[in-house]
Amino acid sequence: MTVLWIAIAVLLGLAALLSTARLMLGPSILDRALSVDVLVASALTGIGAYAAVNRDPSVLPILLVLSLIGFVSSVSVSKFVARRHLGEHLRGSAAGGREGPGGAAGADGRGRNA
Amino acid sequence: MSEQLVAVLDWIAVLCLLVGAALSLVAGVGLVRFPDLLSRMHTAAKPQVLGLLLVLVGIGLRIAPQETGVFNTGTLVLVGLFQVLTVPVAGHIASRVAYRTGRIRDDLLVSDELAERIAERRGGAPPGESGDRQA
Repeated sequence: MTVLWIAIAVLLGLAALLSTARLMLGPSILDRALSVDVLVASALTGIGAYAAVNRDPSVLPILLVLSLIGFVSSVSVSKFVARRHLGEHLRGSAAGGREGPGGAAGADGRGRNA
Repeated sequence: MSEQLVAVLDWIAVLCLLVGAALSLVAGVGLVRFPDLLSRMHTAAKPQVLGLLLVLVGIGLRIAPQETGVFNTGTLVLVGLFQVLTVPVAGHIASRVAYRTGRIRDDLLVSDELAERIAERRGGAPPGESGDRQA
């Protein structure tokens, strides 16, 4: 059974490593917020695995707090991005229309937030 | 509880934890390999939540023989409930912001019903020619 516990730990470590890779690669801030969300969920899973290995229920409130913090962080980052984009949009339309639609806007958005 | 029952519960719990950790790894792999934000959001929302729920079940089965009380089980159920409620909301808000600010790849979309709906709302302008997505 010890081998299985080690396997669980290795899987969770790899998951956290991969989401950290996406956190560093980007390319936009929403990607990073998403990968932070996944990282928090990996931490939840890891703390839960600790509780299960040691039969230790005293860490369970940490799970509760972390799950709520992950939600608040990702929503607040999204709202921040929306508001900042609105400000840019207002300035851009005052200067006479800056941004193309569709795929051009997508490429522009990714480049701007790299 | 008898020894055999505890052993069986432990094996089921280890199995749940193993599958949950594997699903977390799947979420990480998808996060790295998928091409754009919406598909990454898919992998961050679905396998991650299922893995976390399985891990919670595993914790419950490991703790149940030792600690009998409604507090631990209640905490686990609350964590699962919060995840199931909040992850779709967070994914929806993030994808909505990504669409409205033009951070998605149009060439990967099979169908885009929201663009048609926005064009309708604006009075029949085709989706490619409206100025931006702040409808």
